Amino acid sequence: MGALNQVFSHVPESGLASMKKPFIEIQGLEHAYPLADGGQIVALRGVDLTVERGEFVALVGSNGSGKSTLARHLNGLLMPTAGRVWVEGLLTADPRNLWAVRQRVGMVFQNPDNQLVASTVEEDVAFGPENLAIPPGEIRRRVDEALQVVGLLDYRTHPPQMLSGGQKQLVAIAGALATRPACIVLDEPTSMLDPPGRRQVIETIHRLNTQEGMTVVLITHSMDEATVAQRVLVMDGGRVAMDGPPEHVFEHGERLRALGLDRPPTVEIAHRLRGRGVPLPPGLLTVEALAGALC
Amino acid sequence: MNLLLPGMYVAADSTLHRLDPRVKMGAALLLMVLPFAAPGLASTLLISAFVAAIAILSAAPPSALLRTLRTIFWLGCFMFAFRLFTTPGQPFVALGEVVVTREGLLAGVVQVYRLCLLVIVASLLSFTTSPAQLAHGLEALLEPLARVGLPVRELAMVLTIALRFVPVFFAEIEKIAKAQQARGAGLHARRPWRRLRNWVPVFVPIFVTAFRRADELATAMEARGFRGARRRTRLIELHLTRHDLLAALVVLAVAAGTWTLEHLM
Amino acid sequence: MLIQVENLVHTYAPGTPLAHTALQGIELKFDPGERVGILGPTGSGKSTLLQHLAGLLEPTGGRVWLDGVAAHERTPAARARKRQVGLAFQYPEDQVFEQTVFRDVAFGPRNLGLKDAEVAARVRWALEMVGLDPAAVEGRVPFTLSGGEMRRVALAGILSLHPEVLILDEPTAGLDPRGRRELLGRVLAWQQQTHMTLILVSHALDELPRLVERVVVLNKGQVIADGPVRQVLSDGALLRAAGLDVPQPVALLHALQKAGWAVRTDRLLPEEAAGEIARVWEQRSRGTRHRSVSKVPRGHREPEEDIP
Repeated sequence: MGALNQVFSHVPESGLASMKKPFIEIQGLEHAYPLADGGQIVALRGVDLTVERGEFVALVGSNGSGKSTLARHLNGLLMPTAGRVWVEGLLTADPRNLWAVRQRVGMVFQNPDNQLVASTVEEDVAFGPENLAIPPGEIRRRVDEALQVVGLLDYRTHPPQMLSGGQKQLVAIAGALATRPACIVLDEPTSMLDPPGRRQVIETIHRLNTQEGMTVVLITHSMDEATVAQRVLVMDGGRVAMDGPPEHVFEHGERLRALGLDRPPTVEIAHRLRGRGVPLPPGLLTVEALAGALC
Repeated sequence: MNLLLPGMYVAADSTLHRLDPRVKMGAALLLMVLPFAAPGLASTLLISAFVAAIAILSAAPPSALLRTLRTIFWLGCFMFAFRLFTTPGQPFVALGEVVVTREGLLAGVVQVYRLCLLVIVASLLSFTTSPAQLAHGLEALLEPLARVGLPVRELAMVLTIALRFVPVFFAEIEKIAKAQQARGAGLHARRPWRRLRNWVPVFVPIFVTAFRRADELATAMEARGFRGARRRTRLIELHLTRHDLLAALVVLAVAAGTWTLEHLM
Repeated sequence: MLIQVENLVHTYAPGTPLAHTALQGIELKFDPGERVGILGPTGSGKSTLLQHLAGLLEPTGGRVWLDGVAAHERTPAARARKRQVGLAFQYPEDQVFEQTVFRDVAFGPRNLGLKDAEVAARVRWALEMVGLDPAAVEGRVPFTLSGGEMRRVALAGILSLHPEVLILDEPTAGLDPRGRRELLGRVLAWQQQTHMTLILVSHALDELPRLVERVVVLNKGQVIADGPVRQVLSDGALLRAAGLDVPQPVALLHALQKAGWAVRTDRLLPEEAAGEIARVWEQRSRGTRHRSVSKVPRGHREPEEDIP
């Protein structure tokens, strides 16, 4: 150990540290919401978790499992009642780190309307950079860049009410991208959208992860959407109940059902077919994959 | 007043659309007051000609402009009647105690005409300036007051957000109204008091969801790094161009011309 | 109640540059006690159609007949029929407004002019139907309840009207899988108990087959399909052309069919589709073996999900 320290002693601590450290680190996180009558609701009961740079994590669970509460700890909207959360080495509970944390972790919420503040698309996307007091010329560059990434550059001057739900969420994503975060957290971004809107949003964030290397944390209760992630975390009663690649998590059909979740129909069919003796490899998550394996 | 309703903006690329909102607002204010400050016939003709010229430059369809006059129909009738019955002069028609004079007739018509000019100028402003631009312009004009400590930027932000949500609220009111109607709410009641009461089931939910919206919006704003309106830069900054200065000069020239006509004739 | 939609046309903002014809001559019939699903992409005119069925809009052309009475009229006969149609918009919890749960659920019955005892009985019944305990919840302020509970209160507020026709616009929007299952189970129970006509707009393709017998597909203001649920939801080409999702089991079966498998494509539920695929797979593997002995164990039954 001493020899290693000697070898690396010339490397600045922060550089080496951030290379070793995961992007998000959570230790013993607990969160209790106080109630009006003096009692409390415990939403998180001790979560230990790390998320590496560039990972695409799906955080699933039924309502009340604590997934939304957990999400809000990732950018300092909530403070732990116990335990600690680090974002790129910054402790979220330290007030001096708050704005730095929020610049690194962008967030998109469930209701498309209740996130848009401006009367035109470009002005809304500019909101984040404006808050960082970035010079107007640079804001313009970032806004155009972000809109290009989500494919809405032509809608720059449109007012929000002329957009579909899916497009509004893409604007919200662009707004989060404009501060150049390393990570984007999306809290049930598709639950108020129609199927085309859902597809638009999921395709976009998938692309952000695979092409731009963005760390993505997607909170959802749709296992169909979770299929897209590399890693699925299942929450139950404020704790992490399962953690693994989608194909591993989907193996446990009974457990998922007991947790109030279901499996994508394709996975369900594959499972039943295996039960009937059809030799199928594991990890068949899409219609194409299953059809290919059968033929 | 319905004059500056957000819904009146029509996106287009006319000469007027391209002008700085501050110049337009200042000019509009001036042109609205002028007919009343310079009541002479020559002045009024000059102003009318200028307003007509602006209307042409705005690419607003004349029919749409004239339709906006409907909003002041009752006010116009009232003003006409007021002038008609209270202006002293040569009697024209007598209806018992009430006397209508020739002067009264003329005064009534002229007063209504001035009112119409006012409405048309305001409508031209609304047609050619989006609510967002108006908010930007207002914020820029009131900026000096911020140095004196008034919360100009915060109020501008409040205004922008309110404008953004106006269509959302209209849509929601429609939805809730239909939902309650489907439960027999009687929203088309005749008597005003009953009607007001019957609309409570629409306004209460809107009110409640408004608070929830505000809460969610505040959270989203916080997540995007908002910590107050002070230390913010803006994507869109208003810059006066040559066209703006030219327009301002033209308006001032018309005002000066009006003043001249008024006091030298 | 028999509902007939006769050449229904609806244009918003007619005569202005913003005119939009949402419904372009819809012909439909709903028999009493039917369970029908309505599908269509955003902008297909679904909402407009639902509002016409509840008599909330005036047709630009054509008519909606409720038991032979024109729905949009303001006559007592039309009003009486309209009261028999209960319509729940998306996110019905948004319409809750009263100071107590009781009063909110009682709103509808009171507007019907019923006596206090009858109103109270209906409120109690409706709350039980949505799975809430009347005694525990009647006196509570609705806004202190959870979102899911508020939705149930809103639905109770419509059930308390004892409608002959219940129209639900995406009743499971925003719910998690458990919530969805539970609510749709209740909806089915309501229909079975009261024999009301059920008209359901939903994107939950994996749930529809369990709930409805018939599906109508709208696109761009026109009816492009109207038939038994199995038939309509297994028509992949039609669904795709309308910009709708194809149920995963159906997509899978179509893919296999294209590859030469003799599978039926109208097995909409995962268990049925699995059963069908297994059946054909076994046939195929038997066919490629030279043994004549069947590999299927004795006494084995094909799993068949009974669709109500």
